[in-house]
Amino acid sequence: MTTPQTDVDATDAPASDTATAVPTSVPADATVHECPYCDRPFTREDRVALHVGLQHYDVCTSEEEEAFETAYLAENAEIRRYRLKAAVALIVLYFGLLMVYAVAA
Amino acid sequence: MTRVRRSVSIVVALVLAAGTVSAHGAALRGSSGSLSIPTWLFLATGGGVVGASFLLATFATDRTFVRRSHDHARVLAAVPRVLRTVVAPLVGLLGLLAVLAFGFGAAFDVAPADPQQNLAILVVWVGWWAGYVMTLYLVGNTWPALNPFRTVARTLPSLDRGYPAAWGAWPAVVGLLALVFAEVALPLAEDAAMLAGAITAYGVVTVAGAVVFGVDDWFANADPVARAFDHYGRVAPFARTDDGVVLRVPGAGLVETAAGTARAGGDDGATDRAPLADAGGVAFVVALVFATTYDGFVATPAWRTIAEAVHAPGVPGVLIYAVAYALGFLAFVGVYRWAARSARRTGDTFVAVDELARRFAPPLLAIAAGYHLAHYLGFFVSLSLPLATALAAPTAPPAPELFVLPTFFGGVAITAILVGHLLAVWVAHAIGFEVFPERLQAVRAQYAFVAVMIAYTTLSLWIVSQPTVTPPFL
Repeated sequence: MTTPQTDVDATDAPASDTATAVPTSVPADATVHECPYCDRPFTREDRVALHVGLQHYDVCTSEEEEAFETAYLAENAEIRRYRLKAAVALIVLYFGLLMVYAVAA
Repeated sequence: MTRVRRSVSIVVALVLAAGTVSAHGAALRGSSGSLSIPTWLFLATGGGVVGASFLLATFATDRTFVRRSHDHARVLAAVPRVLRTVVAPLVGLLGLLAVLAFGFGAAFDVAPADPQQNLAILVVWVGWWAGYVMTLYLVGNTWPALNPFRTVARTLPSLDRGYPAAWGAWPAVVGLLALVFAEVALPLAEDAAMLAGAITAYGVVTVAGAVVFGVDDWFANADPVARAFDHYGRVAPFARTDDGVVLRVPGAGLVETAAGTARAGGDDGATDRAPLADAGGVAFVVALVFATTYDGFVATPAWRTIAEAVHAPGVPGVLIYAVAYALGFLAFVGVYRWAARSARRTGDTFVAVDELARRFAPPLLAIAAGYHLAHYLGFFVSLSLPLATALAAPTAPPAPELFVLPTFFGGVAITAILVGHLLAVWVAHAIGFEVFPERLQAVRAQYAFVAVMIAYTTLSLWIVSQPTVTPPFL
């Protein structure tokens, strides 16, 4: 990811002062992807794209905007799979308790 | 409050024996008798409800929707200045003077000594600690205006030594733990003079602290009562700001607290700073949750069995209580740290463990509020009658009678605990979305916190379902 503006620091970006001031600690051997605007380290490149789109939308470049949209849509696909699992867990929990009630109470 | 519940139970037993009123002050605790399912199933269902609500919350992945759920606030009219700066402080001062007069008066036979007739005991435990605290999280924090010690400290000259930043919230943590232990170990709800003495001791320390370090700094940081009430006020729908009173969704104040953007809740600018800025602030929230749990736990038959077994070889009673208290608190802190470390792992993030602990602490306040309501609503309702009669005729109140609680009050306690946890689950979900850029990452980071909440629901429901017994050796 390129750094288009080097003189923008976190305090200049509106509505991002609290979210970007997140204290982090990075293990020595970790692969780090940093936000070009606030230097917050992330574990994955797509999370940087999401972060930039959410926190620095007003100052980011059009490529970053595009990367954000791509990452956000990719997220949706994964969320759909997760929802299926959550629904299954809910059903198991509900019917599990129902069965237990039928037997125990 | 264990003492209070116990004295209520004793009065109830006497009244029952006399055959006049069939009241039951500890009706909350007696609720287990009406359960027709085994206790373990009741506990599993409670835990299951919290787990299911987390699973349901994971379906809310629309950032706009989640944000709107806590970002929406309406500014109402400001609190009239005269109410805030004259009426409320006067009410607080009058209340304090009355409590001290009737407390010490009981020692000299000029005030009723019976706990159910003594104005000091009824005002402090029923009116203030049960009833007034409920208004803090159900309506909003009014303590900065009412606090009589603040009013006194403001009239005194200040030395204005800067409050040491390194102390943070730690004096409040120590203070809260000390106050709750004193309440459990001393007969503060039976002996009005001792209660007045304890309030005087607290008052001297508090006013001295405020004089030395400045009123605003002391009450915002080091005073355990003001800090606890400020935290309860963050659960509430109303908050006073510089623009006027803000109406928000219950729990929205907790999301703001986590983000460090909380509006000033107090009388001044001192509370502008993030209240959970340091590890002490997190420890204070954990202490708040722990204190209520301990208070309930020592009144269970299980504790009696444990304490009696340890006491048998000759260990002093107070020592058993103190060790259990310290170990319990450390265990709560340890479990919470574990959850924060675990969140860093499951959330696959570089966010520091301390920061995760700080961000996810505010939901615990919703749990603490629900637990407080579960414990004290029935207590407050049944004892509001003696409180009212004592207020009407403070020097010679008629023989105490209690309101008879309907049987559904046991259900109210269970509902309050569950609602507190459900609110906490949703607040944690919203906080996760604020911290993490990826939505599933936000969900996964909550696993350990939700596990802790499920465990804590189970523990609280178990305590509430147990019959109340007198804590031994006190």
